[in-house]
Amino acid sequence: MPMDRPIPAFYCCYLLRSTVRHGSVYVGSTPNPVRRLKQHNGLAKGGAVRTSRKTLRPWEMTCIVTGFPSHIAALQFEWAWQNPHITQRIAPEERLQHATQKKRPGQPKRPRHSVSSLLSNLHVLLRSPSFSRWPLELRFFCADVHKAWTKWTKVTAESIRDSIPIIQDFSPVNTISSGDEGASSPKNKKRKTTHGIAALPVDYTDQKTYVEMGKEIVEFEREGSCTICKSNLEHDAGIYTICPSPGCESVTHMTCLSKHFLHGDEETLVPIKGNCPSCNTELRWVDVVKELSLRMRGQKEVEKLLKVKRARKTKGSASQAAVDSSDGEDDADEIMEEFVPGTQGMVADDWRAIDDSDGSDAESIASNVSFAKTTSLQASKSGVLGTVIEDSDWDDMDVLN
Amino acid sequence: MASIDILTLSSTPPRQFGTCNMSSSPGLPSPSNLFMKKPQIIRSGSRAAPIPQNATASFTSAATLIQKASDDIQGAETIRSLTLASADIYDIDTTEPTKPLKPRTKKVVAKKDDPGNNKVAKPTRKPAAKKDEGDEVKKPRKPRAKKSEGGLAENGEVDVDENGDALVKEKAVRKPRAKKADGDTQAKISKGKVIKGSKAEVPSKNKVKNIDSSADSLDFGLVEAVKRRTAWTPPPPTSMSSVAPVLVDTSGEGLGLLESEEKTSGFTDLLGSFGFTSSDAHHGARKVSEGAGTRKRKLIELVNTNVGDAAVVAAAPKPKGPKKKARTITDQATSAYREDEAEPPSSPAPPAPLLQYFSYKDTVNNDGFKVPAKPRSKSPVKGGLKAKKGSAQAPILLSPESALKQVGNQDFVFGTSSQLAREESPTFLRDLHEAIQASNQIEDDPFFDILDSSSPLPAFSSRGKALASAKRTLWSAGARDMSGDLLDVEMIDMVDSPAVAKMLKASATQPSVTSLPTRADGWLDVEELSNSALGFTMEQMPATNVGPVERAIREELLSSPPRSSMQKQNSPRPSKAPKKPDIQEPSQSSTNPQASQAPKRPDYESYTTAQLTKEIASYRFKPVKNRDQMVTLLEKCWEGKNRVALGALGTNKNLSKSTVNGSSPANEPPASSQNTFPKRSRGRPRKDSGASLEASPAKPKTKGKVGRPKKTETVEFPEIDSDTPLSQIRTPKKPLKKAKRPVDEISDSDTLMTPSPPRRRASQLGTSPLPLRLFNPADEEVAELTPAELQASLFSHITKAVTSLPPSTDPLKPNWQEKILLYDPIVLEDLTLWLNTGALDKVGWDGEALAKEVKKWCESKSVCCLWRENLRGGSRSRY
Repeated sequence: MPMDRPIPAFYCCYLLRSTVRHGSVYVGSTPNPVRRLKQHNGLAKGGAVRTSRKTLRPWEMTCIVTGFPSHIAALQFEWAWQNPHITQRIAPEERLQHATQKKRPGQPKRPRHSVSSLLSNLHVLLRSPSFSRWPLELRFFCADVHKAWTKWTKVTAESIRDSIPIIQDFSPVNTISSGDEGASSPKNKKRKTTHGIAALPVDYTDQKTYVEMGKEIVEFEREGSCTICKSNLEHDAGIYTICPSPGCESVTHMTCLSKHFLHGDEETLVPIKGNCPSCNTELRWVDVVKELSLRMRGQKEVEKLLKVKRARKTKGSASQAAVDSSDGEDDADEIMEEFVPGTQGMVADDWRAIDDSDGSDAESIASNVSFAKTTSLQASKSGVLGTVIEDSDWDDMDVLN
Repeated sequence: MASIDILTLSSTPPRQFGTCNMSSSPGLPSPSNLFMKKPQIIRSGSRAAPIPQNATASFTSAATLIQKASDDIQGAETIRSLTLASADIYDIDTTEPTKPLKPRTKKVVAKKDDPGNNKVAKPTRKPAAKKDEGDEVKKPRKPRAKKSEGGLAENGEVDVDENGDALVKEKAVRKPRAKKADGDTQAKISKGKVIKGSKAEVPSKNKVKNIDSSADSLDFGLVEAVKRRTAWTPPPPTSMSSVAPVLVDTSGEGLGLLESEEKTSGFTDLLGSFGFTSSDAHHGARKVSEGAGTRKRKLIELVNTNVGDAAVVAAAPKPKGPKKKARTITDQATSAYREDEAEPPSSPAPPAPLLQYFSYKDTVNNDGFKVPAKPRSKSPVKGGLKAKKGSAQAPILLSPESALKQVGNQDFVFGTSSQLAREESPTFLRDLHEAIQASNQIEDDPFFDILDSSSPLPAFSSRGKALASAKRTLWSAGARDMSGDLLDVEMIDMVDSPAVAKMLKASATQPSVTSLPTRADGWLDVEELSNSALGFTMEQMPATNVGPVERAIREELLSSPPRSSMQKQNSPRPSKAPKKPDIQEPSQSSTNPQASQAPKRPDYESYTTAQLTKEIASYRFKPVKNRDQMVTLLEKCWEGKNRVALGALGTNKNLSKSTVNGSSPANEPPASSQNTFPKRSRGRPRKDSGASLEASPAKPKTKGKVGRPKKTETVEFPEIDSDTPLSQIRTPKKPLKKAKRPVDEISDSDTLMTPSPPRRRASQLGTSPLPLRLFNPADEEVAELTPAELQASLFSHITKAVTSLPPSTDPLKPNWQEKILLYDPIVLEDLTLWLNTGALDKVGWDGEALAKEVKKWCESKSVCCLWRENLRGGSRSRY
């Protein structure tokens, strides 16, 4: 059974935390964090039972691990993260949590998790040989969680692979948002959220130019010869990688490029990143392979991606194009996202009203805002961070207005 | 017939007299005594208590046994003789006027009393010849009729004499029986008598019919007479059935007798009629004693008698007696299966079979009984009849021992219906049971030792046994090859060599060492015996007959001592008798069995070497080079056989010997008989029980203890507690185990302890260790490296195998490296298969990689891998 799908545009494992009770945590995985968070918060169907208690809602995604090359990989990582006490990905000597109790059928009972325990186990997992070379990224949305992470990294003797990007994606404190956002429409506002899960690229839009280039080269059979081995690359007679850097157009055997990236390390199979033999641009292996997989297996996805372009041209609205592109992933998402602007507007109105009546009540504002999907994260953050968030919200509102 | 009869004449009279005097008759000679007896019968009919008293008075243990035996045999014989005689008579009649025959026959058919009168009138000879007997003996009508006929014709006379003698003897026997039986029956069941009457009637009818048939064949005129008889028959039985009518008849007869001739003769006739009825009643009583409901038995008996007669007519007159006996014995065990009506008559009296057995011995040895040859011939015939019946009808009646064996082979599962109703395959339970047994047997039962030690036998023996049991398994395992056969006979011989054996005997501990070889021998013997026994049972009926006979003997023997002490307890016999006798007898008979066996053993040393080899081959042993070894081996084998035959029933044997001695000079004859039939038959039961191994002469003594054998046996066989024979059978096994004490015997006993399992163990032990050792070195060579190093090298090879692939030419079919580079989840099964189908060989790895190892490799390389089959058994179709 050959693999019939390209590398997914986005897949992540997330650490969910109740904004009401920070001791309540949940680990899950999703290709679409926004939609998933709505489910957890009861705004959409399909939330996990563990997160269904209303007293614990709303939930927030404190940190996510992204870049899984396949949904299977993501699920495996999720399971290992959920079950650090029994997963075989963690070497016995590395295991931090051990099963102290047993369930009735004899299965070891999962120890109770907390943010700190999950972070420590995440650290272990990212170190483990099973996942250490996966093209993962770590993204923190909550400062306190990130603080706990850094604290933990200092405590532990070993460190995770250097090349794992750790991104702090806190809700911008009046920083970027105001500067970047020039548009006044709610759609633009949503689009402009550059932080939080809403800003995550859950589709292939980032790969679009790359895909287009690659497609062009292949369609016109301009593969030429392998940049590395110099052998002729017959059209459709092998698996070829294309340098994504514009204007490079170097085409190589995938295996050649991997060897090139690995610099003769024979014990390692999959490179993480390397320099293009032609333009010497640093390339992430996963990006190269993702485009390759799209080219090889993702005709549908590519069509959607390119189709969106055309649509955008016709409509002449960049934001609309972006929305459409996300449609391809999930209709529900599309609907949701389309609806989001409205809701945001509503929220803004409500909020304004509240604001007018009460003057400034950070608490009420935060709660109100949290219901809006796009701003939910910010709202939760605001809860945590207090005044700063207030400011941000205020800013947003101002922008909206 | 004639020759046999003559022989019987010579021998019988003394015995009968003796027996009569000994047992019950001393008071009988006078008519008053006879009358007294009648009242007893009546009492029995009325269920009065006094009967037991009579029984006690009349019976002495040995004498009673003999009498019973003789009675049973004679009874059977009489019937046969009657039939034969009737045929003869008819012939005579044809020559002569038919009239006399008809009335006679009618009389016979009608009632015993009537025939008795007729008989009395003519057959004065009999009384005259044997008045003493005559007093006791009450002749059946038929014999008298024969006599009368005989008187008419010379040939008839000769026949009559023979027949008459036989009849007289038989009758005499019958009377005592009847009395005894009555006593027994009374004690056991009062109703039995009534049944007797009915039975008596039926048999008479049957006889008549037989006669008719024979008559038809012979002469037509007779047929008519027979018809008349048949018409007549019904009324007489009714009169007989009720006690009161009999009395009336007797009175009438007495009058007739007075008119015609002497009163005594009339009384004798009366008595004879009673005796006949009593004999019938005796059967019924015995049946009752066996434990079945009286009512049912009555009906069954009636039917049975008919069938039996029919069978007799079809085959041969003689067989009847033995058939009855054998059936009776088996009846106990197979009461549930009683379909054969012919059997019931025989079945009713367990003692009868016992008696028969004795009679066999006696006849063989002493010729004391009239027809020694007949019983032998009869017994086989019976077997054949039974077999036929069995084949024709559903159940085949097996000898108790063979039945026991089958039971042993047949796995019984005890449990609630719900447990038994499980869907698990029948073999599952069986296998489970076997496994449990095997595991249990591997570890010798600690209780065996305890039991042994508790046994009264010398202490050293017990100790030796314990040691033997402990080492048994290892030794047995060591002495067997893969297939469970003896590895080297010579080895065994070495251990068994006479010198060594002596040494062993001296010391108690050594027996354990010897146990192995002996055990092996025992096993082989057992197999042979079992095979032979099976063959006998299937082909030759005598074997089956013997089994029952043995049982009967056992019962008799066992019961006899209590009788002597207790005087009679009829009903308790089966239950009480076995236990008490066991305890008492063992002490008595300790020496006897040895003596008996000693003479039997063939002198192997006198054999030629060729003969010895032949003998050894017959035991399925591999040829042995050393002559001495051969001799010792054969001796052991012989001992094993004998033990199987005799040793198992050691207590019984002892009893039998004692009884034989007391009753008649039958010691030698029984031994000879045992050598031929009895041994084999005995051997079977032992085999069945699993105790078939060698039983030394000393063993029988030890066997006496009942408790031990039961325990040991219970493990192997589901036993039926209710049946005495089973318990007795159990007992023999015990003795065998105990018998270990004598060195040679000990080994045998050991074999007994573990019947079949040892072989398995041996084979298992032998096989399993060897392969393991073989494999280990090979593994070691490969695994000079530590597991971690081995794994590392394997991983490097796998990596090499994966990375050395040329780039694929089809984008849709990436090679493994490309899959990995594409972050494709790797299906472990596929990758493992690919690695093991040449990829690893190409990179110089001689061996295969397990999927587990491949998985570890994948994880070490951060390669996403998964199993095609998930935990739920499904397989992934897409990713």
